[in-house]
Amino acid sequence: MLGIRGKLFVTSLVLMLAVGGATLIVLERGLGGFLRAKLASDVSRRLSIAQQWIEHGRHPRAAGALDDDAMADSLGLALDAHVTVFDQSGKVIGDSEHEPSQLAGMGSASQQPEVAASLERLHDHDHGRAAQTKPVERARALYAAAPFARSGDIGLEPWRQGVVRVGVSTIDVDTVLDRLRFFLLLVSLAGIGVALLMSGLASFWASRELVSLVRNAGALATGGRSRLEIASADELGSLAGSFNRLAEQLERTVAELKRERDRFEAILGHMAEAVIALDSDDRVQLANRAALELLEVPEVRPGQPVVDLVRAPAFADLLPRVRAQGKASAELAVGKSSTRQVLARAARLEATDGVVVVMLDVTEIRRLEAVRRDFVANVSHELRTPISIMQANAETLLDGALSDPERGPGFAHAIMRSAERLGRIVSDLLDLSRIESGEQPLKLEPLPIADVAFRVVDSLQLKARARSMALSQDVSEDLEPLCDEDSLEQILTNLVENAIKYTPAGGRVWVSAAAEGERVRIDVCDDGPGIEPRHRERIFERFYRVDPGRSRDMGGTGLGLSIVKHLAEAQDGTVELLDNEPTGCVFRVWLRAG
Amino acid sequence: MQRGHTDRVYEAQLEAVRRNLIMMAGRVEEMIAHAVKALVERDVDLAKRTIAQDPKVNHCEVETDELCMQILARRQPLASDLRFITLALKMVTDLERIGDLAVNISHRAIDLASEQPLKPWRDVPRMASVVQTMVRDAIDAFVRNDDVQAQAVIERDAQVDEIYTHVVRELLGIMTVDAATVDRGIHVLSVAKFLERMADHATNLAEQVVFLVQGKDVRHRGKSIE
Repeated sequence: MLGIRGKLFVTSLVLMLAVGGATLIVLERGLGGFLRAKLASDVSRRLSIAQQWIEHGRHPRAAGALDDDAMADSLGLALDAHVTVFDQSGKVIGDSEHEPSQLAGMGSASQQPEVAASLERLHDHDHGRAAQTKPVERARALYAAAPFARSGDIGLEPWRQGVVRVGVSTIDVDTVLDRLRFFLLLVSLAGIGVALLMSGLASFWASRELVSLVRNAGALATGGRSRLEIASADELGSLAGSFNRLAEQLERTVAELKRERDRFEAILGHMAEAVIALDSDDRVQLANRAALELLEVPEVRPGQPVVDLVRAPAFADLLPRVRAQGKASAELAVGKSSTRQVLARAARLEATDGVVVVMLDVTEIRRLEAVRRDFVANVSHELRTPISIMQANAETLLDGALSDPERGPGFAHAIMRSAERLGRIVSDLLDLSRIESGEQPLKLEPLPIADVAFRVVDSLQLKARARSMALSQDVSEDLEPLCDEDSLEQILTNLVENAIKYTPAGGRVWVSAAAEGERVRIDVCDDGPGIEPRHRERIFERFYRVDPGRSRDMGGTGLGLSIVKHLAEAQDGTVELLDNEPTGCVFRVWLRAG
Repeated sequence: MQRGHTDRVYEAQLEAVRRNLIMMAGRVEEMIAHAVKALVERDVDLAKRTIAQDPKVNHCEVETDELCMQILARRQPLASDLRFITLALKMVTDLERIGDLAVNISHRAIDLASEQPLKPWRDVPRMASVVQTMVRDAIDAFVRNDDVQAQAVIERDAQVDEIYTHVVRELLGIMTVDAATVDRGIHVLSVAKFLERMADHATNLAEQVVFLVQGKDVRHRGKSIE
């Protein structure tokens, strides 16, 4: 590909050569033709002189006879031409450039068309003898011939007829033309040089502006500059203007796109749902903030394989399904330790064969569902058991046991116990709903909890002793957290009662308390078998049983810990379950310091 | 991974090996979690579902093996690619073994589901969660060429061993006191043993990663031949 300089050079070179060639042709045609015509008329003029001279002139004689060769020689000398004289048979009888002895060896007239034509005219009286032939060029000379007739001198010479031919060299003309060609060649060479110089100069001037335009346009493309300067009003200047308009248009479009993208990102960024867009190769194209948080990854590189983010097999199975069906969903565990339960809905993008996955964190929903499901199952179980017992015993009594004084009262007592149990459950449930609804606002005031702890431990000492357990408390007198006295007493009673119930006989239960910063903690500890970590979250739910078979035998309603939790929360506190070392567990109640 | 091959197909094949490994690791991790969950919650159904996952892991192993073999035969990889492929071949084996061990735990979970627990489950779930993160981190380290993370995995093996020793001692104590617990105790012991073996496999994975990154063999360090 030629650069701009090359193109300019070739163009001006072709131009120069065309002009030179045309000049050559015109000069050669015109001047050459003119010179030849001039020479031709010169030849015929000399021929006329020769003819006249032969016909009427006086001629040198030798031995009394006319010496034709000498005549030709003197004619040739006088006319500065090659003069040849033929007799009427066409034989050369005189020549200005040959000796008489050579004449016989010269060719016959028939080989020379002008001589032959003149010989014919010699006998053609109609056209006049004097007519000359047209000059013929041959062997670098121009020849013309004409017949002559010489009346004989009185008595001396006979009547003679013949043909005279005059030849003039064309060498002068050729020389002139050769010189002209040589001169033109020189001019052409000079032309090439000038073309080089001119094209160089022209391209330098033209391309300087163009090259700077190209460079600046390059800078415009890479963002090195914002606008081109318009240096001239010519085409290049308007090109620069077009570039500037293009750049403006581009900037507007980019700004528009950026606004669009910002809006899109703002929407995506503030969505609660995690959104991930994948390309056809299952690489991440886009992931919003919620996705990063949900998947617990610090950042996503565009183009990162999605397996790097979500490793759950259910997700790997979801992708082929969505590609086949267009839409699919799956529930999967995500996060570093797979702790979050996520509902992933995926849809295929028809245009790119990519996939968009929207993930919703359903951990809490699933947990609440489990709580509700278990609650319904548990509450019906808790209520049905005493009712079944009452029904069975009542039936037995009706079937005749009523009149049995020995066993009758036993059945009645069983009905009584179940009724009491039902009553306890119902009143616990009522308590719970009352605490929950906040119907009776608690009176929070600084309270010396040592008294409460003492009272609770004292009242439950009997139960503990019945199971040969050691129950003690060690609460300092100066701890006065903000709390409601009745509520705290119920909390401690429930916790200590539980501890006594579920710690094996001979175990130990103790209550302790300490201030920690802004808060006071009260611990109810035991050295029993402890509670598995997996129950910790749920043990405060209503009717939740760690070991369903066992705890119901103990006569609990399954609501004690739930009441504890709600009471603690009603007093701006919390309750948690911890492991005790080496065995056992600690129920820890946190209250605000007074 | 910053690879830059001119050949897009080759690049895609290496990427496929990488993806397969991560996916396989994901399945194996889930199997460990589910197996132990089934054990603790006495969920026979979950245990059976976990066992049903094993063929998928095996399939994944075969597929990855085949892919690696194809790359070896057709591309003749060199230097880091060669190390990557040969280690991937070893890794799938380790992962597959971990999957098998998870199946074993699931079987134990089915056996133990009908029995009363010996004591509250505490150490075994803790061990399982450590092993699970070890597997994940080892594979993570592999795909990210992160030898520091791999080193951390190797160090965590000691933690698993410690829990294991503790569990064994505790179970021995329980079984010596009450012969009726021996049956269940043996099952729990084997579960702990399976987990401990999983940790060893995860350590293997991590050691290979260190080799991949540093080109230094850290296997059997500190163990002399005598």
